[in-house]
Amino acid sequence: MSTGSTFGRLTLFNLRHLVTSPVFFLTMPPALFAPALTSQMLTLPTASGFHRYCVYQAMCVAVVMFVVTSFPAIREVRHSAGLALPLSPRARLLSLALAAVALASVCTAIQIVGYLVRVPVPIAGVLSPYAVPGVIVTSWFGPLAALTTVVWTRSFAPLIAFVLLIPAYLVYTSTTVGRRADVIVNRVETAARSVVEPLPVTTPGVTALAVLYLLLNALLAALLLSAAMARRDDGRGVRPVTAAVSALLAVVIAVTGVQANRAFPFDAEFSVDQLHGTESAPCRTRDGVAYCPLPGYESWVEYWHAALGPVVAAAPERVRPRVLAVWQAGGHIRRSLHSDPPEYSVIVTEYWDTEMEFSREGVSVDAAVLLVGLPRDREEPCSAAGQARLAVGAWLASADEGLSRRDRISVADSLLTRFDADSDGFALAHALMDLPRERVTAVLEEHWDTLTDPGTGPGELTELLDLPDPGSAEFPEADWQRSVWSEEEVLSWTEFPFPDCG
Amino acid sequence: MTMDTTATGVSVRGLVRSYGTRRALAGIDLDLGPGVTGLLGRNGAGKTTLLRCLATDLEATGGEVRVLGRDPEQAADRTEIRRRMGYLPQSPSFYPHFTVFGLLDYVAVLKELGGRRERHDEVRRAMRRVDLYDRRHSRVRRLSGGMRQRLGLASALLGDPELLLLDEPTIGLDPEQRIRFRDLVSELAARSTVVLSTHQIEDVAALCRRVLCLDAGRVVFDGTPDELVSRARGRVWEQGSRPAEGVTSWRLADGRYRVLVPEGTENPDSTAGVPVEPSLEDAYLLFTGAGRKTR
Repeated sequence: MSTGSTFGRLTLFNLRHLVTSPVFFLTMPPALFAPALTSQMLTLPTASGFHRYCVYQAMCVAVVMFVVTSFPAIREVRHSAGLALPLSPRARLLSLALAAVALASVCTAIQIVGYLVRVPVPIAGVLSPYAVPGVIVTSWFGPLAALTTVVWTRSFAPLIAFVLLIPAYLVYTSTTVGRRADVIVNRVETAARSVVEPLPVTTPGVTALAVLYLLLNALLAALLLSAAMARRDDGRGVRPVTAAVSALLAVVIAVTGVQANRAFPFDAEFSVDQLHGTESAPCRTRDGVAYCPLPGYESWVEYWHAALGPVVAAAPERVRPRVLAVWQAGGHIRRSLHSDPPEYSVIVTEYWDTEMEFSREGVSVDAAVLLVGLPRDREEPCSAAGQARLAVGAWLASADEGLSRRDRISVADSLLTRFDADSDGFALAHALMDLPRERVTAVLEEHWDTLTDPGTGPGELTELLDLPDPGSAEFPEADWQRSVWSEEEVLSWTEFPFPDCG
Repeated sequence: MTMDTTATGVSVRGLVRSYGTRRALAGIDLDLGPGVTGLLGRNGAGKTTLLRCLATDLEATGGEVRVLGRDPEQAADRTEIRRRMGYLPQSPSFYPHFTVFGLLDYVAVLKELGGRRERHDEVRRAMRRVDLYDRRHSRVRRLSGGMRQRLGLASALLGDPELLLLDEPTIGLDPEQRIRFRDLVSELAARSTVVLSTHQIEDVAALCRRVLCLDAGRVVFDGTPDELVSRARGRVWEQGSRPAEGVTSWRLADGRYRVLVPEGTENPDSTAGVPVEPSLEDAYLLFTGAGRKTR
């Protein structure tokens, strides 16, 4: 029988013993299945979210495998020497490393497949084919670190320290008493984070980043392995060649890490053609509005259009072109590094939740703001209290008659709040919802320019709609029962109003 | 001097092994073939070092070693020797969390014993041979010292090795197990070369056709047990009074004293005692330098 086949048999033996070890049996199933039971799956999962989840799960697997691998590592280091067996102690250690990383990889893969099985719809966005292997290599850190620490200490001390420190860390970070160790804890956290996320920016669709992430992880895994192999079998002294390889790997990792951090700082931006398998991100037009999703998000156009379409359709036809585009801005990705979204665009992000109303509200409100000419810049808030266009905008934002009254009020309130509406403004906006749609649209069609002029007050709007004056006793109160806000809250923020919106 | 490169035994010429400035083996020559060879010597005489060198666990500092016709200094030869050899170290340290079966299966994998079914059959056979089959599911940490010794023996026996090197294999065994052990080794010796390092003279007397006595890293006797005993004739005395200082002696149950007189000296109390037929233990004590030490 050849040494190779013995190595293979030993690796299978190790694998079987790792899987059937009580520690593995007790700790890995919770680590594998707890996320499925406890974490809430997004209705529209994204590649970035998927990648973050995978990294987190790979870390959990690494932690468990550190504990599991420490025991057979002790076996190899302390209890198998001196038996003069055909396979050398180094080969046995290598075999254990191979079995442990294979098991860690399988466990991580199970997590990943489990996630993919649970996702309700295909994952949006782009994932480089190198991203997932990079994550799987992260799970190797645990078993390889166990081997290295056990080989160098020839004891369970690293395992004991690890097992004590993890709960201590969790208790420390979850309590508010005694913050004297904050500096140390922060440094350890930073160090741990830099191992798991060696780059300041993680955009798993960018091939260059994914390759770099995989490369750094693989180098670190190789360093851990060579550091384990550098120790002599008798535990005394080092093997010079292997130690030199370890030192070289450490230097390569440090240099690569520093260079990568310089090349890809936390605010780095990437063009679409740097995404895996993508050359451009074309826009598509629906009812006169251009929808410009990032690559991989094409299916989300339907959700954006469902939110935006009724708002635009409720506006007079001649002003509809004011909403030029729905432009998806994705973290570090830009269609072109030299282009910005068109001036009249609704900006959406890499997040959308079909079950959370605020995703939809954001698009509806932004579209209404564009249509009525209110300022879009949220950095400089202003007050449109006392302007007719505020009520018009709120009515447009909540124009989707498919929504419940509560949801319509919620959307309208979102816009009213942004522009500091007073309680009369809330009352007028809520009252408009009760009017027949045709009546409001007819008035808007005829008097749009006047009603969206900043100088026009709500009285002109109520007059055109044959409503009593909003401040009068005949005017119905705002629907505070369904509103997100109470009247007191509205009164409190109007005490310190923003400057008027021009 | 020619090297015996027999494919079934051991040939050693001028074997030296040093630990720093101390020489544990100071030029050993020997040829071992099928049958049981007993290795006797005081603590520190070099028995374990010699066995470790033969087992390829330790490199020789000088001299030539051939085990099963191969050179342990060559990596490929070393691997081949290990494939065909069984070795029980003096203090085997077994992983305590293994079961008996698990540990032997692990060693069997490392000894390259066939496929899983064949390997498991061989493991079961080895457990039965050392009477551990009933404890196959027990964790190593739960075994008594004697059971662990038998476990070590079972691991050495795996694969029917052509060369069996046993370093103090009967420590901790009860009389019944020791008899069983002798029976087993005797059976193996019919087709294998067995080297047995021990302080148990009865085991040597019962098993060995050949005895090597080591002292200070050298072979001081190489012959049959009978030859060893005959060399001691006339040097073992029994007398009624306590002997003079400088000779090895001990008090017997009947109140008399047994006295060992080293080669080249005379019993200073010869008038007080009578020479008696030496036992193998007497001979061992004489040739391992015990008599000289207390002089």
